Amino acid sequence: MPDPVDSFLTTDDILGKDVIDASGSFLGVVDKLFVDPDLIQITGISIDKGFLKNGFHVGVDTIKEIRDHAIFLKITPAATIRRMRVFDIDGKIIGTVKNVITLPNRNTIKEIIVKSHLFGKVLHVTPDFIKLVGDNVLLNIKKADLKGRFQEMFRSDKEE
Amino acid sequence: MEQFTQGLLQEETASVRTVRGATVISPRGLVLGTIADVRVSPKTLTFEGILVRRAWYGRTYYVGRDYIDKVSPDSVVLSVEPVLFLVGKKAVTTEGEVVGTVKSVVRQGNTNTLKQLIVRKLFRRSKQIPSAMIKNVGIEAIILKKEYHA
Repeated sequence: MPDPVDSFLTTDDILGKDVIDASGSFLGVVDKLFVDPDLIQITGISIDKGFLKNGFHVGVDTIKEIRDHAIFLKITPAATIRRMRVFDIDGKIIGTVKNVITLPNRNTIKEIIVKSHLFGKVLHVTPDFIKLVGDNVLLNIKKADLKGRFQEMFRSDKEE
Repeated sequence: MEQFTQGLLQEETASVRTVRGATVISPRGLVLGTIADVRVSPKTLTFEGILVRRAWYGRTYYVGRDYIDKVSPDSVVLSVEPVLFLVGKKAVTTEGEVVGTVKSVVRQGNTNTLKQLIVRKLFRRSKQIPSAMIKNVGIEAIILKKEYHA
């Protein structure tokens, strides 16, 4: 009778494996496992992005499957949006994503901070203006309409 | 300015001079290059397509108007993801094994319909992967179907 332990995974099976997110990007390799000391359960993994790059960790609930050569995630981590270019609905460039603000301990985007190509000013764009996040970020609003909104945002930033 | 037209007015058209150099982007926001030239049919004098230069040193490729979604003075948005840009991506099995890097694509004629990928791994022979074996195309990786055996 086959021993069920033979089908279990060990740290050797997980550490050092490539991590691929839902958008097909190679995020890095697993360098740590996080274990809840009270429940004795794996709660997440740490992903090493490489030399001189900041890694990050994801919860075990974001893991889709662990395969022989890689670990596939269900999600595209919001942090990967950083440094993406932002285009309006007509394909005009707005700027570059400077930072991504998510809900606490969630992968849900609260807003993205865009460094506008307009005089280097900063825009706070909420998810309702985001059409899709692919190779770059595409908004569902025209640059001209965003400029009107931007003036309000910039003013409110100054007041803060 | 005096105008003689039965169609669009001059202010409703875009100058080729301003469109040249505009950014070309795919539906997913991938920057494909810049417009090197605008092509017109010599018989019908209608806009037929654009020549896109990938980088200042890069080769140009032609995109017919059937694949163009929107045109503005600053940018052109295509309606398809050009299969040409699969080159350089990694082909990965459902087990996460990297089969190789896409070296070239085989299309149906001059269309954007993919027939197969030619992938190669270092020190290995090239492999041909039919388009039917592609499960999903991601930003860096092309995930192959379970049925594909490396």
